Amino acid sequence: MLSFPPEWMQWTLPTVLFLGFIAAMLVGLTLWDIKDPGWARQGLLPIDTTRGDRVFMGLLLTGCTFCLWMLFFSQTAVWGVLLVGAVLVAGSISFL
Amino acid sequence: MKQRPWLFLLPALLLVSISAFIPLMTVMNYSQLTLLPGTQPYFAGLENFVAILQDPAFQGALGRQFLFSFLVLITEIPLGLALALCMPKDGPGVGVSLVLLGIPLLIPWNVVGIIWRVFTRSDIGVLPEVFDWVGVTYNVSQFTGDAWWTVLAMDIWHWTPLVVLICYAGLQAIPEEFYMAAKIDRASPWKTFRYVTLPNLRGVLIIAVLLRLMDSFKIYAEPFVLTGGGPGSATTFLSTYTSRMAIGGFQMGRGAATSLIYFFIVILLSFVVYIIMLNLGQGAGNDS
Repeated sequence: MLSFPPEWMQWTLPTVLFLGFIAAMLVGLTLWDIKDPGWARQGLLPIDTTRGDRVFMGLLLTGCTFCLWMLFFSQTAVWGVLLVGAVLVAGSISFL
Repeated sequence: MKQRPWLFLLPALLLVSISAFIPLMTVMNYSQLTLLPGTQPYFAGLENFVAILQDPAFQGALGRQFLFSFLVLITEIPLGLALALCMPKDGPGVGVSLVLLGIPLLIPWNVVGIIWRVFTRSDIGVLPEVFDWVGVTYNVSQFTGDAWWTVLAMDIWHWTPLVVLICYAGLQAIPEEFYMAAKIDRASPWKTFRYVTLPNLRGVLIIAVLLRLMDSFKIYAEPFVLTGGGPGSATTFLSTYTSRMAIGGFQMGRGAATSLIYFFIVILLSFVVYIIMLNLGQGAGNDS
């Protein structure tokens, strides 16, 4: 008997939430671009970046923050990473 | 009719989802579990990530990986470019050079490791014999330095031809008129290289650097066969550490967490190098 999601994938709630967040962000970015088309511009970095580039950079910065947080603070106040990540993504979209 | 491109894209998307998305999601799920053989998996949250990031063995492997990739890049890229510049542009020498360069690329990774293992064996290997003649003790199983430079030499021997071929293809695509114009302006060979060859090779050099960076970060079979990660953990890179954790140590959860961190580091590093090289290239173009 086939089951979905497959049992061998051992789905967890954080993975579902993470995937949902990425999917929602991609849909949101698409809708935003349809409504208000973005263009490549130069911000704090010396390169031209599109809106998608800046979101990607924000996600990379969030990933770095997560790794550094785990390294130095373990799981102490781990929800802080989400807060810092949200600020980083918003900051990247605005300033990078 | 407007939807037709999406229909053509659908098989590729399905293939990607099966070959990349499902395994990645499985690894993501596993990374949050404690999975030991013969026991029920239980949710561990971020415990695996904390354990891996704070593990001195992981930090050591990461440091060695960065050093190895750095040495690979600063050796293979200039060497590959220099060899490509030395290669004949036409005549029978082109075919001979391409075939000779292609040979190392055709050899599978583990076979390369075995070849170099035979080269370096203290009883029958040619390298210990040569070093013995000049009075130098050489042993990859005992000395960290010997193991390091041998792994590095093996990678350079195996992968520099790829850089040569990429650069050679790029050189062939530069119009001859550019060089004629430089000659009319009486540009020196160095200035011709700096302001004609190098800017025109920017695209292929970015590809070569990214390919070698990602490949050197994924190196596994060659050092595993040659040194087994030793002596001690001197040549244990991230891939060896990950496989030992997941397969040797039967800790699939921690192995999955390591894989995700490893994956993230490769993406991050490739992106940063890509941005830097793109920017450097644009700067060079403006200078000229």
